[in-house]
Amino acid sequence: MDNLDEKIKNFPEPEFPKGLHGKIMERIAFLRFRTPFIIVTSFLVLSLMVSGWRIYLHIGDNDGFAVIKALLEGFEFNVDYLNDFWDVISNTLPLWSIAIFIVNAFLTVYVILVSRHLRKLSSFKS
Amino acid sequence: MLQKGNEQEGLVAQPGDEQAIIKRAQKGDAYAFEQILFRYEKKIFNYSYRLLGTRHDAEDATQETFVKAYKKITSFHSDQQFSPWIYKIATNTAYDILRKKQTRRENSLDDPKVDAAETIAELSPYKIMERTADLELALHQLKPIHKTVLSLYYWDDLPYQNIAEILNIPVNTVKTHIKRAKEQLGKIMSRKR
Repeated sequence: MDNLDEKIKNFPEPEFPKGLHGKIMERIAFLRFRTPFIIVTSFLVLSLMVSGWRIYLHIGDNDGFAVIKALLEGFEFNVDYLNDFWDVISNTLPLWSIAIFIVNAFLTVYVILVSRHLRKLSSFKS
Repeated sequence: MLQKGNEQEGLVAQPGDEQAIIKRAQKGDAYAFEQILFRYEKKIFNYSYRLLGTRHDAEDATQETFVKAYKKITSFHSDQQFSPWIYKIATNTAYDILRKKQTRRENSLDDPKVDAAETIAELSPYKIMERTADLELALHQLKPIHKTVLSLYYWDDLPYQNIAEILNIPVNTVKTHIKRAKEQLGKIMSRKR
């Protein structure tokens, strides 16, 4: 049994994997920012839904869908028509809201992609 | 990322200041937690490797152990010893992985292709030659509890009392497990000769 004790004690240890320390620290860094990240994502998604709904209501109230349809049906490619087209569009559609909505949508997609990466890092790989 | 590589001896905490470092880590200091990581990552990796038998599983178990430790660090009491605490987390994590592997193996019994592939991989001469010694092969044939007690006692140099604390069993049971594990290991190795 003493021989066995000796063998057990002299059992070679595996080499510590390169990069494992970094991977652990990366996961810990993500964990630290998880709560603020979830809060920001929730606000972003909520804001996207609310602004989308408001744009829809605004266009509906101003009969925007019918106006756009009429403009497209009688579309002519000349400077006067394009000027009129722009005037009607800018008066009917909430352009700033739409711009903010688009930025918001891009941010949301970005955050979803990052959160997928996060989930991969924080899930139990087996 | 504060520092990379476990070889940075200058950052490794000395035993005396371990409690101070833990207190800082409990307050959310990531640098302090990294000092704990420097001190224990190699030990936990080696321990996980001995329990699980593959580098890949040992890597996963080590990552998971330290992530759990980070999440639970506030529940660590200063009157406790840190070493048994972290080993307890590592043991539970390794057992979780073993349980998952066991379930997967049972589920794959219906699929003869998967089963055959695993058997070949386990028994191929190449795989066996990869192993450093008969002892390693024999070790992997032991029951998880026997691997655990041998590992904690011989390689991690933990006293019976700490092993008992980690496994939630009486000290005498630890002694019995060690005795049985050695007998079992001796039997497996003599069968191989």
